[in-house]
Amino acid sequence: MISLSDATVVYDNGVKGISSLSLDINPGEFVFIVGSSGSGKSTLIRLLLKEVKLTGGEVFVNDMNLKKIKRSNLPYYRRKMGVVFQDFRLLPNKTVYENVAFALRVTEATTREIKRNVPVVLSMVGLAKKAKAYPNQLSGGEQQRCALARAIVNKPPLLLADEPTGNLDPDTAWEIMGLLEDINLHGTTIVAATHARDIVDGMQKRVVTLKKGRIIRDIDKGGYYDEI
Amino acid sequence: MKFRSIRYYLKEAFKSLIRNRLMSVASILTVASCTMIFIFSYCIAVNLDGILEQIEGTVGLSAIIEDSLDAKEVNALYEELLKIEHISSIGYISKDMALENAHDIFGQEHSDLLDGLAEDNPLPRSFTIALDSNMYQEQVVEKLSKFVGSGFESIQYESEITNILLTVNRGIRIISAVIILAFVLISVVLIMNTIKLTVNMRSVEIGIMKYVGATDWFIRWPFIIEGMIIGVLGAGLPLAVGWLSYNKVLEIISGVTLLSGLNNFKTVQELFWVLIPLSTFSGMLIGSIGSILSMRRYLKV
Repeated sequence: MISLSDATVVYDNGVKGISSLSLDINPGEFVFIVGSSGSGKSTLIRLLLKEVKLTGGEVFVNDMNLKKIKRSNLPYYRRKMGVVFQDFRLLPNKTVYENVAFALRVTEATTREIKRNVPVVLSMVGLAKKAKAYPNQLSGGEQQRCALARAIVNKPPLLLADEPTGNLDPDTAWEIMGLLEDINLHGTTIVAATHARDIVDGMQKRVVTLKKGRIIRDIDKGGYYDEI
Repeated sequence: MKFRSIRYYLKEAFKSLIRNRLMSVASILTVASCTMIFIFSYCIAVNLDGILEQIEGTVGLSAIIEDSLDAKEVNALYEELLKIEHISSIGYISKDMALENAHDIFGQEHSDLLDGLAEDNPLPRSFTIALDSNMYQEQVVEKLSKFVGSGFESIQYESEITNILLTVNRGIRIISAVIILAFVLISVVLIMNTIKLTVNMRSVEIGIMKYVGATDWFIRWPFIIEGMIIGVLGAGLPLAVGWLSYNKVLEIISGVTLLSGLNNFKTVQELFWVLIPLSTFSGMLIGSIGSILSMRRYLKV
């Protein structure tokens, strides 16, 4: 699913985001990327989204070589993955329904497909009754549910989450993680960058720990690494 | 592009126009004021051109025929004149007609001065020659001068008036072109800035669209259509005002004594046959180009 070998990202100002990072993630896995601020968690997510340029090494996602993806093909690459952010990034002028439908609309899905799929996904994340609400009328947890619905409506094989619970209270954070676990049980690979120690410790998934852009620990089942 | 996408783009464009109605009205008014100035300049330029043509038409050449020539020789001379380039028409003034003209010029009060001339008319016969354009006056006069002494007594023409008219005409054309060009440039810059502001306000939205896999064109089209609508509405408003007020303005101008003799004004149909497609197309083009240029950097996510 994801394969990084000696992947390096150096930003324009010379700061290294990740350095000679090698990592393999198999289909269906649930992986937490943990580490302190500046460890390279977000850079890794942004690299997988192809939002930052790979400076060295090689990265394959869904069998596609990241270096060889042309700008014109980038939208088609991104359609094979869902993404959720700490700040939700919903379209403010669209309702919950329209936000989710938009992800289908860009793929030129038919109106029938949109009408069939969006309500199913909204029920799955518990937002069926809020379909007509605008993002500013929702709580943080509801906004993240909406973002999750948008991320999975295309049934992508991969879901990237950058600090998905960063702006949420502990109870809501657990609800969102519960949803991510459900999505993972349906076969979607999940890569989540997070600071949330309790959640990582509680869920007992694969944990990859980064420090200064390098992997210092990678365990199949475990909790947050204390020495970081 | 699929039909359902077109429907979506149109819907989004109209929604955005209504949502950002203040900005939309500002953009439409910007285009409208620039188009109004363009229409105004165009109407003045085209009509001045027509008026100058009319004035030019009254300034002709006269070739005075030698008295000794008989009718056959005058005919031969006429044939020669037909061979000269840039002559649009030739009129023949007989001695009697010349006397009649003199009566007209002196008027009834002084016509007794000419009474004695009827029996022994000293006025010469002549050809009045009209040209394609007064630009060619010097050239034609040079050719006619070859017949002076061998058919013509002299060639009479108003070189000064012609030169002044030519200079004025050229000046007006240059000034109109410069004014129109300047306003087109100002319009493009103003529209670009207005659309840039809208795009800037929606930059976050564009970024999100990119994350969910929207292609650049999927993002661009609603903005382009929005720009086109602004352009068309902005052009339509002054076109309607121009169309409705043009005849009224002409009525006022015709009432001014100095200009009352001029009747070479273009009709509203003649002018707007060019102005409607030109302004609408320019509005659409400026609007869409403005959209594409303004959002270029936001698409690089």
